[in-house]
Amino acid sequence: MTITEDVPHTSKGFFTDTSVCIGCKACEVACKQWNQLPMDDLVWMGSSYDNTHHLSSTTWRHVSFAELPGAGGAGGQTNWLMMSDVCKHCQHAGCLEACPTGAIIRTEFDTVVVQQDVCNGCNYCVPACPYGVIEVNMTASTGDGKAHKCTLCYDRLKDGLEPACAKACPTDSIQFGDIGDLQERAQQRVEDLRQKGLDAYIYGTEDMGGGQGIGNLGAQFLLLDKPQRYNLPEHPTLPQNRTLPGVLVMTVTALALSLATAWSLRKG
Amino acid sequence: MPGLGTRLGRGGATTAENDLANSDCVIIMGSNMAENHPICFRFVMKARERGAKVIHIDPRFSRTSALADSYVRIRPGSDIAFLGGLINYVIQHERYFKEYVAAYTNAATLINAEFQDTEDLDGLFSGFNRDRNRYDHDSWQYQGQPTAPSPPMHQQFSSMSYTQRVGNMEGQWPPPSDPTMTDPNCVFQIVKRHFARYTPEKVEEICGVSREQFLEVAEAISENSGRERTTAWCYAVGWTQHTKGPQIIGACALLQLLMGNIGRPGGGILALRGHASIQGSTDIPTLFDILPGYLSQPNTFDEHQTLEQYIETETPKTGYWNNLPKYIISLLKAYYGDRATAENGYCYDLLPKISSDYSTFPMFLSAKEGLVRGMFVMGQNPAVGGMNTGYMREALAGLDWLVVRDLFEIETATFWRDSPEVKSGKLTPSGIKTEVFLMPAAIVAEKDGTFTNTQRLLQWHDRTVEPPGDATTEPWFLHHLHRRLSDLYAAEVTPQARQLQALDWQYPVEGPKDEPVVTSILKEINGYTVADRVQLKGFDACKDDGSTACGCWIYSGVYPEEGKNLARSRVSDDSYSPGWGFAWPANRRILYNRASADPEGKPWSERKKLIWWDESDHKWTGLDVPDFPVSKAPDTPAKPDGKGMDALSGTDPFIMMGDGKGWLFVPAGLRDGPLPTHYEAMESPAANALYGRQANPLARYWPRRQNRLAKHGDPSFPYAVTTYRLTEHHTAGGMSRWVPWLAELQPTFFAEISPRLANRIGANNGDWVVISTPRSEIEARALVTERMQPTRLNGKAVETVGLPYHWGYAGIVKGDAANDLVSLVGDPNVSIEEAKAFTCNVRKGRLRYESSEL
Amino acid sequence: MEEYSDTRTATSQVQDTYYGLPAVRAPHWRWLVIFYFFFGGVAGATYTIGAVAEAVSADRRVVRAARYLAAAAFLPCPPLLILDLGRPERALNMFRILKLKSPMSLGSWALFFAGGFATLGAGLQLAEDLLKRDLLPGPRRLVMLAGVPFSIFLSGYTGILLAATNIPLWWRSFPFLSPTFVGSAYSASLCAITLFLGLDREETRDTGRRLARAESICLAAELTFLTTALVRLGAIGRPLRTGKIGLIFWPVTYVGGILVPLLLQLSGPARGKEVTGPRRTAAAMLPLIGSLSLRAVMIFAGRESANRPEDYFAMTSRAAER
Ligand SMILES: Nc1nc2c(c(=O)[nH]1)N[C@H]1C(S)=C(S)[C@@H](COP(=O)(O)OP(=O)(O)OC[C@H]3O[C@@H](n4cnc5c(=O)[nH]c(N)nc54)[C@H](O)[C@@H]3O)O[C@H]1N2
Ligand SMILES: Nc1nc2c(c(=O)[nH]1)N[C@H]1C(S)=C(S)[C@@H](COP(=O)(O)OP(=O)(O)OC[C@H]3O[C@@H](n4cnc5c(=O)[nH]c(N)nc54)[C@H](O)[C@@H]3O)O[C@H]1N2
Ligand code: SF4
Ligand code: SF4
Ligand code: SF4
Ligand code: SF4
Ligand code: SF4
Ligand SMILES: [Mo]
Repeated sequence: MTITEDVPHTSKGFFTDTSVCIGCKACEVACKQWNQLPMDDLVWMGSSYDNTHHLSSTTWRHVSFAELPGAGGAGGQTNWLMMSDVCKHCQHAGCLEACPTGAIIRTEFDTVVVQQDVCNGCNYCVPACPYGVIEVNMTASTGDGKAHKCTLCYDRLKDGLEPACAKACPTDSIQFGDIGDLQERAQQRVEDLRQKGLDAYIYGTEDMGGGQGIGNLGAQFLLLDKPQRYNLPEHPTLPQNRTLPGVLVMTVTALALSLATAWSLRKG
Repeated sequence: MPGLGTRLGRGGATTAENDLANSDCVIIMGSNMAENHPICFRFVMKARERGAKVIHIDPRFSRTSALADSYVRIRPGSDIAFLGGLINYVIQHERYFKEYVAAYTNAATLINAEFQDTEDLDGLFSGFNRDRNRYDHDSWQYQGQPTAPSPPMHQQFSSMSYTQRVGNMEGQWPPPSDPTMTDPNCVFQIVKRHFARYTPEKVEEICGVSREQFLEVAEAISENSGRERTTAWCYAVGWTQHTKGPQIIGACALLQLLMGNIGRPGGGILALRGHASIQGSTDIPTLFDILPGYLSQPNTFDEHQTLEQYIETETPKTGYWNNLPKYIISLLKAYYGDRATAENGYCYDLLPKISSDYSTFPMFLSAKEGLVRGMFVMGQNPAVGGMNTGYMREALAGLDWLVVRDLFEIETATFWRDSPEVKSGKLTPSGIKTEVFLMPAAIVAEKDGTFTNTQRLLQWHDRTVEPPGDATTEPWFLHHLHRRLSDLYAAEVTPQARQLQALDWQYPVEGPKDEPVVTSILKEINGYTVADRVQLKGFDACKDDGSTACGCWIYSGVYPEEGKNLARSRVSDDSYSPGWGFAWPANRRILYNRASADPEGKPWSERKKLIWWDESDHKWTGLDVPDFPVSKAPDTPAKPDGKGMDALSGTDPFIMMGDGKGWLFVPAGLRDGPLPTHYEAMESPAANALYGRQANPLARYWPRRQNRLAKHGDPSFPYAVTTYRLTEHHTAGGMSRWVPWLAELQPTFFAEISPRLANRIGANNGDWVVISTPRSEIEARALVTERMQPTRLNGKAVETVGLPYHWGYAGIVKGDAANDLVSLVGDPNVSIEEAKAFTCNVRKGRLRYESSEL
Repeated sequence: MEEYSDTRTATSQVQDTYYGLPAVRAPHWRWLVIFYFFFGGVAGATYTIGAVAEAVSADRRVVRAARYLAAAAFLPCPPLLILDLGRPERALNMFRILKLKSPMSLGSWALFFAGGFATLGAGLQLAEDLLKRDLLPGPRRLVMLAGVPFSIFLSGYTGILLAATNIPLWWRSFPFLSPTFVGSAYSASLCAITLFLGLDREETRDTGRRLARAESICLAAELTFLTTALVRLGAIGRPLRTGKIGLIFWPVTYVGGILVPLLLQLSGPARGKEVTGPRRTAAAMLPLIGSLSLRAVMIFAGRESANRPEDYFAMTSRAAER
């Protein structure tokens, strides 16, 4: 991990407020444009207005649309959920912990970035992400066999620019900044919305969405319904929590079976 | 748009989108604002955060509805009934802004006693001429004024003169009125009677909106109007694209005048424009019937033979338009330069005069019939975005030549090869004589120029990269087309040749392709003194003696001195950001803002102050540039025989109107009646529940075999259908279906239908369905969603089918064009199509099985 | 208004997932990885058994077989792994760093060292076979023992590697997956040694019996771990238990690969007789197939499991017991 002296060394992240998201997908397109990502397969799913379906190696921002029963009625936004999803830049990132090559690093902005020149495409980061974010691009035509995901616009941050997606968002649903500030803003916003009678909460804290080894998320979200309806787990774990206990159990088992074998094979 | 122009004075949005943040209630009706105007919508969200109520009234639950506090489902084509209901409600319950109405509108003005209302004549106003299917306007006039010349026949296809439009105030001045507003002939009483039957019950019956929901809206606007609060309305083509579009918008203007919401912070009517500079393309028009700055294009029917006649016919005695001679003469000086002299009427005779209907549909019909031989299509895709597009494509095949300048090889350029007509064998490529020239156009980032946006704001954009390959800009194309044509006609002595020879066309060129310097065009638009070429400071400096030239008077001030391009300026603040770009006229952000102060010149309230009269400085001052003579004190009386602005008093905010008032009742200027009246669409699933007249009696229709209409109640076409946009695509698709990042977001043409309708036709979500009208049949995937619901009329559920109209037969993603279904009908004032309300049938199945897999 | 019956809509499919779309992603791993898992496991177990045999001074032939077999099993591992990488030319990047929490990083290093020891062992054996004498018996034993930790790791880390992911099936199998893999690696390895030594030959009869006993213990252990894992998996085990994968898992892995050979091995002592002939052959071959199939069904079922967001959400719901 490199730390450049002249860049202020603060934790940067996102607060995505879904209560003001209009589902315009400007963020999704801005990300693709800035990062020159290719078009995905053309699939029409008939699931509301979402035809890109999930984050992938070529879609680093993804706007989901959950039409719930009652959409079209009085409930408005709570019946038609729109949310712009992105890599969570976890405090303790499953992908980073899993990566055997060190291709995934934590930057001076406290963000999680894949260095494609190091990645060897082993795929292990893929199932290690608790949010299904990172993917290795194995597409025959455009795939480079390396892992890709949101860089939190590392290149733009370096130049003092805000990320392309946040810049493009017309309603400031995506807010970029210092994590501390964002968390305060998020808390305030939740309180405001609760006063208006909305069941808003923050996703990405120790209590919800993060925790269990993952810690806080660098990208937090204000949600209005169960996380599952946004395709997010309620309380995931850092999978590497299981490594050390796993090694112990395995060693004990192997030693036991070795002893049993020794006992069976012993002379005499 | 005459909807706003005839009541307020100017056709443009009265407000700026950033002012929406100051609203206490924002009503979005006839627009899917969040999807189609996301940047503007940001300010709606801001208002909402500050506690404003946001209401969306639309046939479909869209992304806008999801973000609104209330969503009201309305049947397509029933807006006037709803707005009429609101007008009736605020009058009956005395919730209108009385002081405002009394002081600033024509509510008290007396109308000729012969006037008869639609209530009396079952859906017609007095003056209807059955033989010619039009109105004589005499009985609609103010008392004491000479009767306006009845619009002659030609007025179907040219704009009315300003003397007619703003009121011919040559008679008794000021016009007789009844300040108590109780005289049965006064405007207020006429309006009250006209809308008396627009009750909540009728609204429910016609619009399918429940009483409760209607009352919620009525209360919301009532509570959020008055001295302390304001309500803003936003609309777009959900209101315009009807055979009564201008009347729907007029109904809103009428309501906003009643509520005292015009000219005030957080109030107004925001007409949301379409293409990035569509406002600009009416200001400096691509239309056939107006000249830059909304001057009438001369025609062969009015007294327009000479400049004197034109000025005489066009210039009203009272109000700001009395300045018209300065603007037409300055325009002619800009066109013809030194050749334009007082002696030769400033070459007025060279201006082409309208002799027939040159609007879009007749133009295509003429192409089909062989009258129009060649066509330039620049920045348009009529093969997909036009109406009855199957017919339009056949019309293209009637041309000798067609020039298409576009970014991609759009459908209009490939109709001879790929259109459904060719696939079905109706047309054969070898049988089409049209020679098609496809020319690559530069995209906006590749050229200098300005956009004029929704809020009349001019913003400059720089060229950031050179156009690739052979791509060239519009200025380049037109400049060099002119140059080559001039060369060809240099020696010829014909009237046509004179047109070219006389033009003062001297733009400097730059760069390897000899691009005209665009700032030189903007400078000409701004205007300059002829003698020493000094930039004009603003339109006040325009003269009628030939000493100034000005390409578009309303834009004057955008380039007020050498090296100062205000469209380029980018200074923003938390208020009205006057330093950001340049808003016409004269950088005024909120039009008619004199009305933000009470008659004495004090803000109606501290909360809603905008401009006010400063006694000590003896001038109008405040947060915005006054849309009023700066030093005209509030107590200035109207001069009894004054001309122009002198005829108006210090309490007349609507300076473009002949009487300075906002017009609740429009004595002249609208062909189809002085008051908005509910008519059904030309094709409608319902009978008119208010009058014997089913549809707008003056609606235009071009009878052709391929342009048949379904009769109301035709069981073969039982469903209402509306068309619209998706945020992911742009109009006819040229700018989105070829862009991979947008194409992937909405790859397939789909029809939104309710679960109930899906069930009836046996279709599941994702199934193919065929949608048909008497014009055509197309296929789409069914998106079965609860966001679509039937509306209930007289206890019967009427289904609405929703069709986004972005697809065509070319591009990365393809699909049938919804516009194949739409008819060629037009409203009587601006000939706008009726793409928002017609009828159709839907069945499960496909038309062709070999087409796209998606 | 008329009622509508159950028409599928863009709306109604949404229940407690997002249109049923996956919430976590599966790696693209397929046969290359499955074979690597198998050979790696066998290599690790075989090496360990060889070292153990040497320590307890068992039949020299067992040691010899284990040394050769461990190296032979190791041999295909690097190419299999490298071929599976999205960017095979960067395989060596695995050795840029060591990450203590990353099973794959640990495993790569384990493979590196275990492979080294296995090769060393086989080299020594070859030298001894050629020279026809024991080389450095004292230090040799120590050196071979030094390879055991790596080999033990190699024999079972792939189970941790799977469990330390968010794929519901793999995660939920924790902590029994790695022990199951260890058991299966040991039984397969014992079978391989048995087959290498030759069945029913007079001179190896006693060793054969001993190997069979060890195999039975390992199979029994594997069966216990796997059955516990299945019970623990509950509904999340569906991709493994049902469908096409279930059609392989039950007959080939569970019954054919574990239960049948175990019963065959136990059938002798039960009847007080030696297991011989086809029964013996079957008992020595089936666990090999079982071991390979275990890894195959686990990988494929895991991929399927990733497509079941309801499983992942069940595991990550606050209410889920962990
Ligand atoms: N992303 C995107 N933005 C665009 C465009 C685009 O294509 N894509 N196009 C631009 C252009 S050219 C224009 S003109 C504007 C248009 O902007 P909008 O007017 O917002 O566009 P539409 O989607 O055509 O129609 C608006 C709404 O009118 C509703 N509607 C239909 N019939 C009726 C009716 O009878 N009454 C009422 N009250 N509502 C009705 C439709 O359901 C729809 O939601 O958008 C501009 N902005
Ligand atoms: N059914 C239905 N039909 C409708 C409507 C509706 O609501 N419903 N809306 C109507 C409305 S409001 C509109 S505005 C029309 C729009 O209809 P069109 O104007 O016909 O459609 P566009 O796709 O906007 O066409 C613009 C073309 O200009 C090209 N272009 C972009 N930039 C440039 C440039 O700089 N130079 C040149 N030469 N070309 C350029 C684009 O590639 C594109 O092909 O559709 C109308 N049709
Ligand atoms: S969300 Fe996934 S990809 Fe992003 S940092 Fe966390 S673990 Fe890595
Ligand atoms: S695929 Fe690349 S980034 Fe992911 S774990 Fe392997 S080496 Fe690291
Ligand atoms: S931060 Fe940059 S890379 Fe990440 S989603 Fe936004 S635009 Fe894409
Ligand atoms: S740009 Fe903003 S408003 Fe639009 S979809 Fe993305 S987050 Fe939502
Ligand atoms: S006009 Fe331009 S900036 Fe405004 S919403 Fe449309 S695309 Fe965005
Ligand atoms: Mo438009």
